Amino acid sequence: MIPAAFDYERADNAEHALSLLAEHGDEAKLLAGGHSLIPLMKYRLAVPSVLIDIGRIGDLSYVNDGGDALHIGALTRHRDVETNELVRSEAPLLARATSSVGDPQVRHRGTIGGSLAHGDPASDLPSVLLAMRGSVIVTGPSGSRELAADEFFTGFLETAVGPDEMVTEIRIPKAPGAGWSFQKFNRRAQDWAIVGCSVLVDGDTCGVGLVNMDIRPVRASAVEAAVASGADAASAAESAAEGSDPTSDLNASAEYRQHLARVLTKRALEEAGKSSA
Amino acid sequence: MVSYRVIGQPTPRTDGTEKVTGAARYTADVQLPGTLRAKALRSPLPYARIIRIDTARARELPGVHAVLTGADVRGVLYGKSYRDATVLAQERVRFIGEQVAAVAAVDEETAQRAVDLIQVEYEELPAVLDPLGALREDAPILHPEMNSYAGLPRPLEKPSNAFSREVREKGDVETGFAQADLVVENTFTMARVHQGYLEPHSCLVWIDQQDRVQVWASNKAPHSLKQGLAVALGIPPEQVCVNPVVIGGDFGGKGAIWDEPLCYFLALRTGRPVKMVMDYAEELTAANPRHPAEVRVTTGVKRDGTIVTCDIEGYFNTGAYAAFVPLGFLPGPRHAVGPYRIPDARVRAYHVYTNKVPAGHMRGPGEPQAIFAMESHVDVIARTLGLDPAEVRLRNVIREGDANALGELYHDLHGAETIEAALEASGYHAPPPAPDGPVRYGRGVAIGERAPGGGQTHAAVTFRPDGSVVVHTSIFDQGSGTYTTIRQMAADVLGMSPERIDVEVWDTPETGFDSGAGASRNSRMASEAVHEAARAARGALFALAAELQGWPQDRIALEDTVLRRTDTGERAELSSLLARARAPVTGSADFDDTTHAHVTAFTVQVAEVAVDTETGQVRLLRFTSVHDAGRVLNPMGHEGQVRGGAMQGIGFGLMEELAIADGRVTTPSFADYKVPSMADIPQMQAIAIESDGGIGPFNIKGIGENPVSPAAPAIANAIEDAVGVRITDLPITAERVYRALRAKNP
Ligand SMILES: Cc1cc2nc3c(=O)[nH]c(=O)nc-3n(C[C@H](O)[C@H](O)[C@H](O)COP(=O)(O)OP(=O)(O)OC[C@H]3O[C@@H](n4cnc5c(N)ncnc54)[C@H](O)[C@@H]3O)c2cc1C
Repeated sequence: MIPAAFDYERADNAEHALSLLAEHGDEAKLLAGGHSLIPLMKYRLAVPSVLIDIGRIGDLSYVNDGGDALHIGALTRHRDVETNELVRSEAPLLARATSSVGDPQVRHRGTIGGSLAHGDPASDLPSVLLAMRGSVIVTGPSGSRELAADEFFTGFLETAVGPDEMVTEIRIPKAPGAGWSFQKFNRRAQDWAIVGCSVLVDGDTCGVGLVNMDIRPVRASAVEAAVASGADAASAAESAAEGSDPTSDLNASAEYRQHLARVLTKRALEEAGKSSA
Repeated sequence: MVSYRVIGQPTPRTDGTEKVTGAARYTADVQLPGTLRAKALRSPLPYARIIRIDTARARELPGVHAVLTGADVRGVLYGKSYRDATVLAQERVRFIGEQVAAVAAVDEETAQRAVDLIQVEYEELPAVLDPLGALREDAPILHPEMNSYAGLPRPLEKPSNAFSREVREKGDVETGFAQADLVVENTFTMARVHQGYLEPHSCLVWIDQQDRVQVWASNKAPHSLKQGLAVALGIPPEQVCVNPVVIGGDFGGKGAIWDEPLCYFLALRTGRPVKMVMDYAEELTAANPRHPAEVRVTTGVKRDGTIVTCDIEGYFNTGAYAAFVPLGFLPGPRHAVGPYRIPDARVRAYHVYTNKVPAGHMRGPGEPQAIFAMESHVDVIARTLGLDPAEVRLRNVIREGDANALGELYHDLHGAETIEAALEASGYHAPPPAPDGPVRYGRGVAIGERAPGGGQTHAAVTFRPDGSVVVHTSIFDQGSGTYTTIRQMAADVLGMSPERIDVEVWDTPETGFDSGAGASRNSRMASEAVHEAARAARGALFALAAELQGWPQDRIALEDTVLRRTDTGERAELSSLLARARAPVTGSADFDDTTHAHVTAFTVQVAEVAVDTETGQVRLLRFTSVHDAGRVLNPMGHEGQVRGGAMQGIGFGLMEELAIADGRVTTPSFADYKVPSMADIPQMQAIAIESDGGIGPFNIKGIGENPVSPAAPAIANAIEDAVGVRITDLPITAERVYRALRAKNP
């Protein structure tokens, strides 16, 4: 329960963080809210020899109106996302999903950038990024690049962020009038999802992101295609688990997770259908 | 009912402020100069022979003061009464997490690093992981030398993994079956769960200049700890002193001898105080959780729902050692016959060794398992016969003058009244909410009963010269609020305001044996002892007033800070009178009655659930807990016990499981081991029905363990009411309900 020894550096801004990353290379890990990293370190599942604390970089905590999209700084805490008026009006799905992350203590520490960069299939926010077809701005020594949600999550706790890079911003397309729903199934209140589902329905197109249905956050492409070809919620949701590969663990068997994915997706599509303008 | 000024008033905890501000001093906070920290190397295998232990590298690490292995503590066996536990593994390890070697070092990190440097070579043996497997002919006997262990509940003809077989019987069950219209049989299983106290097990042992063994420990039974240590270590009990310290929750798990013997040997070796604090991963993998169990209930019933016979067979998985179970076996399985008037009944309870974490006591030891089985079963009977489950309970419940199924006779029985009150308060008979999409609603009821245990305790009440009072007690409050009620009781007997009364705790050498908190006995013991001691102190005070003031002794009243002569109205300041006393003005009392009280207390709980038929998810909507309470000393404390206890029962019912795969606990943190949070707790009603029929001078009944047990069966019964499936295995996860629904409607 005691992490291995490590050195601690505090970054004043993104450039500083990048130069510290360049200096320490693979040995280093960025520390944002620490709510995923520190538990891993306590169990010695992560043993970084240097922690670069980016948690106090104030100028990476913001929600800006970028015209077609909301621009959210990577270090914005869940609590600030969940209560932000712009997010509530332009991306209510994100506000709702964020408000279901852990408990208030977790939401006051955890950050949107950390949650996405962690690449955990059990996290709620990746499903929103997928459903809303958002993107992530990744900054490295040679500048910034924008990665679409589908390019971002590459494996179990793996993302397309390079060892010398960091997430600096998240972009969420505005979806005025779109229908949406967030469904989270857990074994007790204020807990991680056993399965979750984010849905955004905008006219004929729809986005469906799933929580905990594979080794990485995944999109339910078959459901999206079914909706696009006119299927109703119930029949589109039948294919929610298609191609998925959930784990069997203490909380649920893989088979039950697949069943839950179908039920939650059906409910999400129905609810989104009702709320769409 | 008699009325009091302080008793019966909602009274905040005397220890509340220090606890929430962090001022309270727990064992881990006790600092002695030169204290070393200890850590243990634990077995990675469920069953193995130790071939070789290499501690050389650990010994060389700077900062390490001692490294001990089994060879250093050979021949030492300890236990609460049945002594089968070794201080460090001897030749064999019997569960994953068993301590194999230990290090004392300058700090915890160094100790841990040294532990990591110890190398052990094992020869793995085939492990026995479940009780039924452990009873097979060809199963290895885990403790072949058990007949030589002190305190084995009953000697066995030949060693068996079923080291304890307790049979309780009244009449002849076979006769009963012959008279029954119908025989109903069900088997239920319950998961291993952890007590979930906030403070992990910790202890500090120091051998002082006078060779006394000074102990600070998160232990609620300090006198048993003292005696158990003395027996295990072969030293006179007077040489052991257990010092009072704040205990951070117990729920049954803090009554056993723990790492104190190990710290003693490390202290002996190093000449320094040695402290050991478990981390929570160790707690969840290697402490003393509730026994998982399998209980079969077979009843013979009449068509009208009368239960004529009841045969119970229960297997309780004790794990690798029984040292942490106070009697060696659980007292609770007898509750599987319920509080019912059944002519013929039998309870057979087997406690079985396996290569798993040793189990211990948890809030109502054996009762939640037993009561889940019987109270689920009663609903099956009712549904089989087409009767209302509440009616079946009312038909069978013991009433004044009835002995229970095992022939025990209790007085002041309020069972039927408690059932009626719970049905009323919960709206049990109102139609449940109409189905809502895939969601169905249902209600379930369950009953439990328990009498407070007996024991020994001591109290003294002393007037200080300034007119304030100190009450001494030998009870170490484990977190249940006993000091607050002691203060209330003393205030009422003396006629003083509680603010002028302090409660202080004796360390072990200062008093005779105290049974320790447990068995819902604290209020019973404390009320008898404090009442008598306070009366004696008041008598001494009045004698002093008679002597110094010349007042007739039977014409005196104490009104907080003033003594008043009742016939003339003359007054005297308490403090000025005490200033003139030549001897301490004090009274003391010893309470000694180790029998169970002959007054019992009923608990009836009603759960209202919503079941999602598509996912199997169960939401608890409303929970009603009604208690036949006798006199409630502190309504705030009583309600706290009810809510906390019900919450533990709900966790046991719906989510908690200390899961083990291949002998290894797979839920080693609170992220994996799910206990309910406040957000899981529904609208809860806690209702106390008071009466004058309780025990002792204040007519109390027990409450500590009562609210736990009926919760799980009430929930299971509500689920069947809602969706028609019977869940027989705990915890009732959504997936279990979903599978049962699928099996019913493929
Ligand atoms: C009790 C508890 C309950 C929780 N419940 C939920 C829940 O229900 N749902 C849910 O989704 N999450 C839950 N979480 C996780 C929480 O949301 C975390 O805060 C989040 O996953 C990680 O964010 P963080 O800022 O804490 O990241 P950290 O823990 O600091 O970092 C996580 C990883 O991301 C990397 N990283 C962080 N920021 C960046 C960046 N800007 N660029 C590149 N890499 C970066 C770190 O190096 C590390 O590898 C819970 C956590 C706890 C402790």
